[in-house]
Amino acid sequence: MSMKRVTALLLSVVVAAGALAGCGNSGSAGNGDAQTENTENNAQDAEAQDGGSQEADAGTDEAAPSGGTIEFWNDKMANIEQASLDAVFGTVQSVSGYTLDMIPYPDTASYQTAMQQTIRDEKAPGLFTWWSGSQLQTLVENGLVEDLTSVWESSIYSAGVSQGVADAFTFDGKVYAAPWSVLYNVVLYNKTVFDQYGLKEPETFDEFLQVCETLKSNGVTPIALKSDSWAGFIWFQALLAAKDVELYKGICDGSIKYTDPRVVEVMEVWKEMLDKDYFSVPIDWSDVRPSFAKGEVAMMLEPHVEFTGMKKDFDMVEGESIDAFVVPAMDGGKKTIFFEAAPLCVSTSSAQKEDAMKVLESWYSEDIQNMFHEEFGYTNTSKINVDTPVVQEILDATADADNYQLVLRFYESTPDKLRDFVLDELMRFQLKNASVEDMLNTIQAEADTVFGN
Amino acid sequence: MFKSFSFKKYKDYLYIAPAVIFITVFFISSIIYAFRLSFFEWDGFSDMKFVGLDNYIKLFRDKNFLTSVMNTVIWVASSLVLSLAMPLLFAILIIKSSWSGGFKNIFYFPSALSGTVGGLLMTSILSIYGLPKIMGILGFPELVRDWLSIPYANTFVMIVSGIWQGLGLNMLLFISGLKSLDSSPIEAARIEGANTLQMYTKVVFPLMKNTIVVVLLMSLVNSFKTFDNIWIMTKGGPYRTSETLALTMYQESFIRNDFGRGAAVAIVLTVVVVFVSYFNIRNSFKEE
Amino acid sequence: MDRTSKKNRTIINCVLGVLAVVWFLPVVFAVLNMFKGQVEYNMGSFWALPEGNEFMANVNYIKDNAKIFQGMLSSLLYATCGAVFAVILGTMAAYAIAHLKIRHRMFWFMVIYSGTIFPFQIYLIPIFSGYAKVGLYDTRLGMILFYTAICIPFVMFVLRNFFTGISKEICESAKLDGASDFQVLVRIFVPMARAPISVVLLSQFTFCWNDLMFGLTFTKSKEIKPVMASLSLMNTGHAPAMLTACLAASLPTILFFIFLNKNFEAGFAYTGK
Repeated sequence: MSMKRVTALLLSVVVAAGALAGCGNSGSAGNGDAQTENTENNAQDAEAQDGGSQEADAGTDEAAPSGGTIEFWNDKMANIEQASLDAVFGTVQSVSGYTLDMIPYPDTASYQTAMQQTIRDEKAPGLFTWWSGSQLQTLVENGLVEDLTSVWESSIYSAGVSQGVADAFTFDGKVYAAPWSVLYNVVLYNKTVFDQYGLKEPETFDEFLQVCETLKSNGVTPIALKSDSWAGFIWFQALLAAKDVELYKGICDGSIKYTDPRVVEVMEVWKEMLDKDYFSVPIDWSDVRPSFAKGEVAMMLEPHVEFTGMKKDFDMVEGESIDAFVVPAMDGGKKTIFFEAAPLCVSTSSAQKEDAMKVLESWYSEDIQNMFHEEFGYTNTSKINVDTPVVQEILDATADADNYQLVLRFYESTPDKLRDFVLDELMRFQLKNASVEDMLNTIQAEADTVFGN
Repeated sequence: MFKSFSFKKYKDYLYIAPAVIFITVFFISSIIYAFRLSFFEWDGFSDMKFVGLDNYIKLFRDKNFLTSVMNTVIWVASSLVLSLAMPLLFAILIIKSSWSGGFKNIFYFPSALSGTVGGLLMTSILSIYGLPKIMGILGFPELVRDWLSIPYANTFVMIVSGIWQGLGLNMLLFISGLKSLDSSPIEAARIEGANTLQMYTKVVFPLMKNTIVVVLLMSLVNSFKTFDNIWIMTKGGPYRTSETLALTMYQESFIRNDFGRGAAVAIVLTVVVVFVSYFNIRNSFKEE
Repeated sequence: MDRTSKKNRTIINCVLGVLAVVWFLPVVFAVLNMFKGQVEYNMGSFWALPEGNEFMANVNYIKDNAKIFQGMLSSLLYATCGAVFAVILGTMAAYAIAHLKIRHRMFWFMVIYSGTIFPFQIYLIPIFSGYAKVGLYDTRLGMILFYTAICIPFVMFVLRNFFTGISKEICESAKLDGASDFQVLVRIFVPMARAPISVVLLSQFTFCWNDLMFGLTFTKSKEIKPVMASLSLMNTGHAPAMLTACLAASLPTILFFIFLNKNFEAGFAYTGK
């Protein structure tokens, strides 16, 4: 009995060792790419053990040309299906001639680690997505991403991407990223519920409050709040800008104090809405969506791509059961549409840099951007074919400078050290654990240290 | 360390050498790296800037850090009950039941599933349309809300829901410990007329001391480092009220890009765990 | 130990029976929800019975969208090698610390044990950078070495405590018969420790199999990524497919548990004295 076990143990060791040796030497994947990669790594391994240096590594790499394939690292792929990806990158290939090898990173820590450790190396990905605001600034200040101003001038502006998006990626007059996605935040509403109670899209802020009141009195929660730790600013920015967009901008850059009487006034409006239960308690996003789809909650302030998500996951059809409007201004003036733009960067050290710049030149062509719209719901350029009037309406609004203004959202507009603090305080406020005064004073104390007053 | 290099003396060290080398290369080097990093300010891409003890000083003035310490203490304290007492009780009951094999399999089953499945199931069950809805039907309408977004209370919700997947391994260790007990001291105690409680406290538990120490220490260490459960369910929110030290470390490093500060949290956590484990381990070495 | 009265036993059976139902219920619902469609799941109640049978549609969805099978093969290699190597190295270390003549046992114990003390997230950056330098990043060997390392402390810890419970006389009498230290380990200690070795083997295999963070960070290619990393790339909006994929990916750890099941209760005849 015991002999048998020892034999079994020895056997498994042999098998394991065999497997180990196998994958060390030739790569057991039987896939051409993996094989080269493994041998390559193995060679480096041996060299490193012999005291070989980085130069030796570089030599191995030059021997293997990139051959029209560009690595594309992406951390914004949650909720996107493989079939959609294949369709989009298939189009990219047929238009530009380059194959994209997409490497998705669903976890921030992995992504941060991998980028940090690779970005100065020539093995860095040609293309990668990043976060705008201070995180992009860090890369720019360290000279890690390419200046894409020339690409913007040759092919991005002309495709109809707005100046505001370029501004969000601009440091010292140079644009360092192209948009992976441009998202507009609008109030999505459950049209079935609105129709049931004879409600129309509100044109003035009073009408908006009226809509909330009607819904509330009929037992429907008017507006959903989500509990994600970053989501505290969504209605904060919307209400500030509804009051006065300059007030919002002043708050972001520190020229107006959080304790300013006009801010207090807006917060009191919000407080009243919260007290009247116009908002749900902040709940998990996975609960917000079914509540909205079932009509238990009537509105949510979300990026317009959520149309695509709600269609796929809940069968809600734009214009029939779901529609959108922009929060009206309190004084009846221009309405504010907040946007967020995810940057697409080219790393300076990457061996694939030149190829990546070339791909970006055709990235904003109609064929490719139509694909982005069809598959992901993105509307990055103004020249795409949009077959749903609801979405077209939003796009028209973003271009209608007489009645609307396009403003970068709070998250990227204020220094990140202060931002995270503000988000926590706003969430505390929305959970009704802080008064208006309480919250604004606490935030201002922190803002004083950040803005150095 | 080695007084002479004769093979015989040297040979015994060969047994621990591979393990020690693995641990040193992978983990001790990492903690040294983190220790060094904790004296610097670093955003991950720019040059590191030496700031001395700044990271630590700021940490102890940060009320989020203090909340995080509090939460960690709660997790650790509950783990004593839930990871030690409960699995032990389950193990004893299972052994005494008439269907021990079946019960053991059922209670271990969730532990074989991945954390992703567990997280997915628990979030579905804890979402408004899961347990809260059932509570509403049972006549507790005030419970119909998202339990995981209630500050401070959500920590307890997560601790309780963690039992489902957390029980299995410790229970298995206890079952195998109980089954391998020497029966003669127990028989002797029985003949002397000990009642059930005395039997366990005076005879069975002391005999199982080794197993109990293992489970206790591992549970302590793991509860100090609790991360996955919380990350899946609340990400430490709302407004950082359910963060534990491991989450704070992750937040500061990878979300807020303040790697020096994250490293400082890691070092504080490590010092505490080393301190706690040291005394437990020293006891177990003394008695040899 | 087995002298529980009939009445008590009935009570115990009932209590455990109720708990077992509670314990198993989530699994039952998970299985039921595998038969739902995407919209049906999202719009309906988690507790509702499926209306139709979308199981095959979900399976096909997974086939189209996730590289689970390839991930499972990779994970099988990593988890088996990682757990087996760790058990071998951990057993040796435990044996030495418990029974051989080495100095500063407690120091060496703490060195090895420290691998479990540090918060895992701090390993990401230093190990990534080390792996990138020596070419272990995104290789199978790198994954196996890492999983071996991370499993050693638990194995050593459990077995050292078990081994210290084995009396010295057994070793001594074996040595009088001319057995070497290594023979004592392999012929006496390891067979006696069948139950704890099975438990650590299972738990470490399960740990490696279910690890997401390291698998995601230290690999890049689809061919190298372990199963949980592949799973994490799936669309989270499609819960039924996700549940199906997750449960499928958990089959090996369940099978391994069943395979080792007999050993967990293996008592040993000559201990304690």
